[in-house]
Amino acid sequence: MAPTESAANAMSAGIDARPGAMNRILVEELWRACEASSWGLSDDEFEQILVDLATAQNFGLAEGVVATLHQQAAFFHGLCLADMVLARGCASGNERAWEHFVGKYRQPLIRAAVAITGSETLGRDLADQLYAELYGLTERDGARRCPLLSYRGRGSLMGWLRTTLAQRHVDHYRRTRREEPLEEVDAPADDPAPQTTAHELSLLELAVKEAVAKQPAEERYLLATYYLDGQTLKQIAQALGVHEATVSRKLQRATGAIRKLVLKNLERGGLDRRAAQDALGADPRDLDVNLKKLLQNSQTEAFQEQAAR
Amino acid sequence: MAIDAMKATSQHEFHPDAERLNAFAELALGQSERNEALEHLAVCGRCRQVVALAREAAEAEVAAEGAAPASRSPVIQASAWWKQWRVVWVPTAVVAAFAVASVSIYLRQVEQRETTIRMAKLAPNRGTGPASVPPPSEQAKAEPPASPAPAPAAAKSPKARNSGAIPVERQRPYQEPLIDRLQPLPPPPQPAAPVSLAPGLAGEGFLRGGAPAIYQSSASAQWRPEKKEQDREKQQAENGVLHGSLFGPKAAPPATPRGAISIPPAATESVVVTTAAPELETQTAESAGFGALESASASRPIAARMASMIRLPGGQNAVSTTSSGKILLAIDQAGALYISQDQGGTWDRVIQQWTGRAVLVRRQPMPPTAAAPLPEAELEAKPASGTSEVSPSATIFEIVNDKNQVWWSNDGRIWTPK
Repeated sequence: MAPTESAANAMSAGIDARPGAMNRILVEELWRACEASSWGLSDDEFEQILVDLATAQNFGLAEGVVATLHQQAAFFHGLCLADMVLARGCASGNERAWEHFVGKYRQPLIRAAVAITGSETLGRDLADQLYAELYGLTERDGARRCPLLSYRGRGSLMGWLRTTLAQRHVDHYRRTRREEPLEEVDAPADDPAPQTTAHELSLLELAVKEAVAKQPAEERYLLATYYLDGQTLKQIAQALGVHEATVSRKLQRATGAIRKLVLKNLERGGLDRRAAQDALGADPRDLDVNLKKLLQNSQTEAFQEQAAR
Repeated sequence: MAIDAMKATSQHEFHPDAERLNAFAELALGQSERNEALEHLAVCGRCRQVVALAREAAEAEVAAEGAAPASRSPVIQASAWWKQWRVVWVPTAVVAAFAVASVSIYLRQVEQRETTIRMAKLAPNRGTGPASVPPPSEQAKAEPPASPAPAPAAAKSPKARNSGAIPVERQRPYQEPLIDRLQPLPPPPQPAAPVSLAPGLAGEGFLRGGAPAIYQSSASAQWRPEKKEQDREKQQAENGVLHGSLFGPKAAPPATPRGAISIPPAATESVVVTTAAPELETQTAESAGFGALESASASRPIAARMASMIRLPGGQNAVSTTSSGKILLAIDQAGALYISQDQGGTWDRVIQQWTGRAVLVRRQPMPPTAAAPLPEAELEAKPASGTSEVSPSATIFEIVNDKNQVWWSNDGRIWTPK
């Protein structure tokens, strides 16, 4: 029986259906559905995990909102509880859980690491490193810390593993890249065009930043992935779950809006219409460099897993 | 303010964890969390890169899973392959065999048609005139051929009887013993203005496929083909019976040239005589033969030119030739007659038994009076009406002198005034 049906049955039976309270029948149904007992989790431990998840996210609702039983069931139904209990079983050191995890995810983990690094050797090293980390060889404050504990069932466990691998790889790449001399140094910008003064350039930079900042998050994400990361429309569309045409249309709309905003900001900065138009014809390399710095100023050193805090 | 806003978004200290990024990529976030993730991703190249790499790895995994079923055991693969194609083999083989047979038949028909058309085009240029073939009624009365090759099988064809036509052995390869020793034929000249038109020449004629041009008389008959007749002739030629006659009967209209000389059929060939004949353009022997010979113009008929290419023992070229079987007769410019019984290999001069100067030699069907009676068996096998077999041996040779007097001969050596 599906958890949602169980919750509905529980509500219809009027058994502990108070808002905000964990329904025992719902918990038991979920516990059996995800075979938590196979990984050594008792129903009490399972209920505690569910309570932690629900408390951390308030059943996916806004703060202060009390979830009904139906909302609770919907929230848990949206989670990958089977993967979550397996991860918790592995984190707790359950042998059966590890055997199952290794048999199911070991090879996909290596393939994902090879795909991410683009190298068989680097990929295997990356997978082995993460595997050791998952096994809990690292300790923090004298206690074994398993990254699997940070997995809370939102999204698949395999996706979580892939994303974790990608994080490790990107962080490693960006860290080691900083230690190497830059091979590709941006060529110094040419002398400003006579018609574009330094004042106009500063105004233009300010206007661009303002215009970009005023764009909605999705439009800025589109601009960054398309113009800075060089991703294709198809890749962006897959990431957002929309059609390519939608991405293209949104990109066109975003660039048009930014251009209008830049012109408006320039005029507001004291330039007349014609001077603002001329300022837009300035050397774009100046603006590109600034925009990259603006959008890619991510601090990898300060990266901390929220779950690890 | 704007700069502060950009800094506020760019100077983030924390990145979304792997679960949130993965949930974003798998579209598992709520709307509010999704907006937060987008807000961060818009300014964080690192997290965008993480999401992109994770997605690429997922696509690689999907591709690997898709390729996995293809890597089954070879035995299973072979069995599956065979099972898949076994059903297709039979109809494929049938279709292929049908296609091959169709192409073969088509090519054969095209080849036959081209051969027929080529023969039909060459024959009028080499032909002599409508007077060379008697009307069917005369041919029906003609004597049986002395040669034992009257093609009785063709005569027994019920289709031939019904159509009033004599089947033709059209596909027989043609032997041109002399042509190899001669220079290549020049391209056939464009038909000059016809000397005369014989609209009433709808008498019977015959067509021999591939009769050698050098065997023809210098007098030529040019068939002006009409489109309708050509088409019909092609169609009939495909069916094995050629209905279009090229040469009209001697007794046809007054426009019939006297000097026209027939095409000698081969010893084993039979010809078709039909009642539907195309219109013919004819030229007299004088106009086409002598005139052409003396002027050697480029427009003279090809038969005359072919005749002129034969060098006779007297040192002169032939101006008129005719043949029957292996007998070849030729007249030179001086009017001397030569005979060859080995198809032009050796020539003997025939003692002159006529008056005047011979200007034309031709072949005519043997008169009924001179023909031997047909055996009863052949008479029974003969078509009832309108058709007759013309055998090479059922012909006589005729000589025309410069006074239009005619002598005839059975063997080309002994001549009798007609």
